Amino acid sequence: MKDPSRIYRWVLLLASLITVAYLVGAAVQENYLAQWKGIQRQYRNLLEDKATDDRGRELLAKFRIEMKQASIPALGSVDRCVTCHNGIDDPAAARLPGLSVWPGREGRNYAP
Amino acid sequence: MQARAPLVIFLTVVVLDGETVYTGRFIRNIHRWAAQLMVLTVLLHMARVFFTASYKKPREFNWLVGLGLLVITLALSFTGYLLPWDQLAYWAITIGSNIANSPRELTDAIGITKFFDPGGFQKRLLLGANFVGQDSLIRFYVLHVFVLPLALVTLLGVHFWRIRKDGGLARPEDPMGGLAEWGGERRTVFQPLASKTYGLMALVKGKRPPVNRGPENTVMSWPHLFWAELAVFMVTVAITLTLSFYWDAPLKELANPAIPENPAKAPWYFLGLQELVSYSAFMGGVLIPVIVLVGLALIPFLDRRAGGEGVWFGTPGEESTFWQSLFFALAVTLGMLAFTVNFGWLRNWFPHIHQLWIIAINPGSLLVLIFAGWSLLILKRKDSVRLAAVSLFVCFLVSFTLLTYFATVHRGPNWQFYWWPSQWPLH
Repeated sequence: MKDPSRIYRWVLLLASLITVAYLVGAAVQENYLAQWKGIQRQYRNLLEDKATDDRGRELLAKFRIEMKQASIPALGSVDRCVTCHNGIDDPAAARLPGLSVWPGREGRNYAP
Repeated sequence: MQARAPLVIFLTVVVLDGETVYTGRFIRNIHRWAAQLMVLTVLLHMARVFFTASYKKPREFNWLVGLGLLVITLALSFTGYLLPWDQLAYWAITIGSNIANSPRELTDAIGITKFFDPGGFQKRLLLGANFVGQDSLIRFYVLHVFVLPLALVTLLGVHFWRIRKDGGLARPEDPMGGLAEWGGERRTVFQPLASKTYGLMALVKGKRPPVNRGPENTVMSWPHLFWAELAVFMVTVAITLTLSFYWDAPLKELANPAIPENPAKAPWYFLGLQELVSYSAFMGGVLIPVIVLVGLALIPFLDRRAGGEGVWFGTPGEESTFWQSLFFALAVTLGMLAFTVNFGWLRNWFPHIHQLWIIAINPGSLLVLIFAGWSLLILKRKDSVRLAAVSLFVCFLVSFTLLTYFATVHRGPNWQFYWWPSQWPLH
């Protein structure tokens, strides 16, 4: 005797698998593929390459991959630009290849 | 701090969107898409109930409850639209509240706005002010998170309860006359005596309760109905997640009353109305929506002849009436839009004409008249209220869809016609 609800159970299974796939996809996107995380990983690699002296090692040790923000209570506002603009408070970073130039705007020089 | 409340709300949405809150953007997308899908699904559900004649006796009351739920759904979506407090939200709600203000076109035209101003009252009731500001924000917020959900849940409870009270989902009279089909076999289940009232026990032949079988040609809710419902539920979730994964909810700049969006468009489900409002505010914003809602509410009370319940296009001639009305409504609506875009309307031809003429005679009111005439013609020729209702309902669906599409795609800055948004002038 064929069970008429069989088709619905297959549909349920399929839809559930799709749902789980997107939930996992969203978690992966959030944890590993976020653009700012990639940018910070690149910057940490740069710091690792340059960590030849004490100051370089100190910068590397201080660096965490995290959302960074400048809070301005007077304006009731926060800026998170520094999350991606990692080397902005480090004059030495201006001379690092790949940092002084904005990707896609190679003609312009942002070095001080 | 209070003065900055809208800014704080906007920044909160920015934070939600900007990957600072864990999976915040994904969750906001789901909220947005689920809201849009709900409006769409409610409309589709109404169409299904109509075309399967499921509003007929004894389900008239539940049809009315459904209409109430439609209005609440639109109100929920509309109030939620303002809350991000970006430019899109601000100007969409400004347009929406101007639609609420549209009785003023009539009161202005006959010069009584000073004494009697229902439009201004409606707008102030909605916004708490004469413009979209902080008072509107708190009003929309309380409506969105408290008042409307409470009303929704209450009416939903009534809606579901009435399904059981009205004898389950609408379905044809037991087509097998006491026989049941199960696993490819037809078996006698039960023949009730007309003169007798039965308790549940009397419905069952034999010594044991039936397994997987009940009286009439029915099966048990568990597992059959529940598997189906669970499947539909998960399919809905899967569709929502798919849309949310690939398409982000929009977020423009912080709302700025000094920089109007051009074109400023209402949420999509009100764009058909906005197109009609562009002809005449009173007609598009008051009279036609009222006619549509009252017309929908009257359907089960005008169409009282039993038959066809629970079957798609269940009475004779319905399918041909459906197709005829579909092409008729397509032709008329497209023709009206093409005429209006190419040749303008009364104001372009007679610049000094009294506004009352435009309120009375405009593309929107003509569409309503033509559709009503078409429906009366069907009623006269086919002598069937159901067929007349089908023709009118199809005209409503077609013109709603076309006007919504037209206003979404083909209306640009200053509500001018453009083939594509890419042709809009830069400003």
